[in-house]
This record gives sequence, C-alpha cells and structure tokens, in this order.
Amino acid sequence: MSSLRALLRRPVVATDTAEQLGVVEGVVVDPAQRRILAVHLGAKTDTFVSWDDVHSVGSDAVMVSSSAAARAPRGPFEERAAAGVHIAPGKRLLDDGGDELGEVDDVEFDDSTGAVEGLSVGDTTVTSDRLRGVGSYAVVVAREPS
Amino acid sequence: MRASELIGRPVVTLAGDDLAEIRDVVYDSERGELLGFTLNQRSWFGGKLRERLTADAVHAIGNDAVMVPSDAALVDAGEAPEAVAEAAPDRNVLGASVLTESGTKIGDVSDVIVALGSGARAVGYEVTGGESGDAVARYIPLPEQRAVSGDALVVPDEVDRFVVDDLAGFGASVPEFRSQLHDGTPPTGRMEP
Repeated sequence: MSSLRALLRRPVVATDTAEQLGVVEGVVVDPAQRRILAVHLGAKTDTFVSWDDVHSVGSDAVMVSSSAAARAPRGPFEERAAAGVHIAPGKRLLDDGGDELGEVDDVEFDDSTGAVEGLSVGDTTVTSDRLRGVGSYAVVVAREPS
Repeated sequence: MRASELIGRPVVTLAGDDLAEIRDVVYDSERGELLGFTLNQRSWFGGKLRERLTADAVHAIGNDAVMVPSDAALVDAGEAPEAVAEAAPDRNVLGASVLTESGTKIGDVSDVIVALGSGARAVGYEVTGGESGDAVARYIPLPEQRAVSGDALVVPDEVDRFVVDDLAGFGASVPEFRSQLHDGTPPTGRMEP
C-alpha cells in the first residue's frame, strides 16, 4: 500500500537511461475501474506514464522501465488531468446526493496493480467501491448506505 | 430545503464537474410541481445561461449541490418545455394567501419547500403570518390544493392540522398527511416536529 501524498512531487526516473523524466504532478484514476491508469508528470511538460510502465515506487523515486514510456496524454482521463483535473489532497468530496463530506486528505492504493483502495477524509476512509467521478469541481462518491 | 436556498448552488455531474449554478427555481403553482431551473454561468461574473435544467433530469438535490447524471442533463431553452424555457412571473406563488376551505387563513406563502434526496420534488410551502399574525415561519405539506389564483391558494381543511413550525420535522409529516388525505382516517393529532 502506498499513499498519494507520498507519491506527489517525487522524481520519476527511467531505469534504462537514469534520466529524470519529471516529477509526479498527479495520478490519473479511472473511477469505474478504481485504478490508477497513469502518472502525470509535471515540471517539464505535460507527459504521462502508464501505470503498467511503472517499475517500482521507491521511497526516493518512482522508477519507470524506459524513458520511452513518457508520452503525450492519451484518452479522456489523461486529457482531463492535463487540464488540471486530479484526485488530490484538498479536493472537495461530494456524495451523489449532493452533500459535501469534506476534503480528500489522501488516496491509498496498491503499488503493484495501481488499484485504489480508499480515500481518507479526516478520520474516516471512503472505500473505493463508492468512487463515482473525479471532476473539475469535486470527487464524487456514492452516498454511504444507511 | 427552501427553494430560495437553492439559488446559487452548483449543478454538478456525477463525474464531478460543475456545469452551472441555479439562477431561479421554476415552479408550477397550479399543479404544485417543481418544473426545473434556470441557470447562471459558473463564475464570479457569470451571466445567464441559455440552457435549462428540467426537474426530471435531476439526479438528487443535496445540501451543497444539485446533482445531475451528466452534462446531457442541461438542455437549450429552445428544446426545453415552454414553462421552463420561459419562466413566467405570473406563475409565482410567493405572497399568495393560503386559505382553508372553511375560510381560515393559514398565512402567506413565503417559500416553496423542496425535498432533499433523489429527484427534484416540491413537498410544501413555507408560510408566514396568518391568524397568529406573527412573522414566525411555519410549514405546510403541499396539498392537493382545491384552487389557486395569483392571490390565494385554497387548501383542504385537514392541512391545518399538519402545520409544523420546524423544517427538520416537516419531512416526516408529508407522507402521513398524504395517506391521511387518501384513506380518510382521522389524524392522530398535530405532528410533533
């Protein structure tokens, strides 16, 4: 398990060239798959690395299998991330009934698969099965079953 | 929630994008139905949007946002039902006196109460004034009203027993009121909020 907070701003380095490709600007999550699709690299240009090309998430750097893995945004979720829409600490959290639950504090995920486990909000954790959307205004989750 | 409190609330898709904010609530006082919303752009200097949001396209109304399934929920005024496209001020129920069939004035309508939760439904009126003459707001369930004009609403006498003075307790009284109207059993007394 890793947390998004630990990942943000971390350098991304290619194992084949030892070149720093950028730093982690954010992650691209598909809410339906509940999975990190890619890492968004900022600092230099808006490039993306598919999670499948991430070799390991180390304590000091995110290692990517090849420098060729850095590429332009691909698909709707990456296009939106390039426009600044991320699941990130401080993002407003809204349930699908239109009530605010607070702000996203952190996102827990599985390093190897990129599977999102949950969102921490204050003292509580919202499990990822409730995730509905990551948008410009808010992260939307299903209302807690009563 | 009071319909007036919805004004300025963001309209947000389930994908988390804010599309607009509520400019005004379009309500049909004759049918006692919430029809939809006119919209403003989502910015500090946002002007009117041509798009409308009809009530049937609303996913849910919450305390902080009006949720819609997707951006397809907004329709151009040209394609919206006429009542929502051209919100007529004469349909406004605000200020109308609420009179029972036997002639007791309950008060004047000061707001429309909208249900929180799925969809977009009007469930009652906030009324102020009336026989007590004070300015304290009270709430009545949306009746199967007998008649309505620009000046007054005539409601069944039973409504008088379902007046509550607290909005939090109001939600529970609506279903009871409706079932009572339909099965004709006498009410157990005034609803406790």
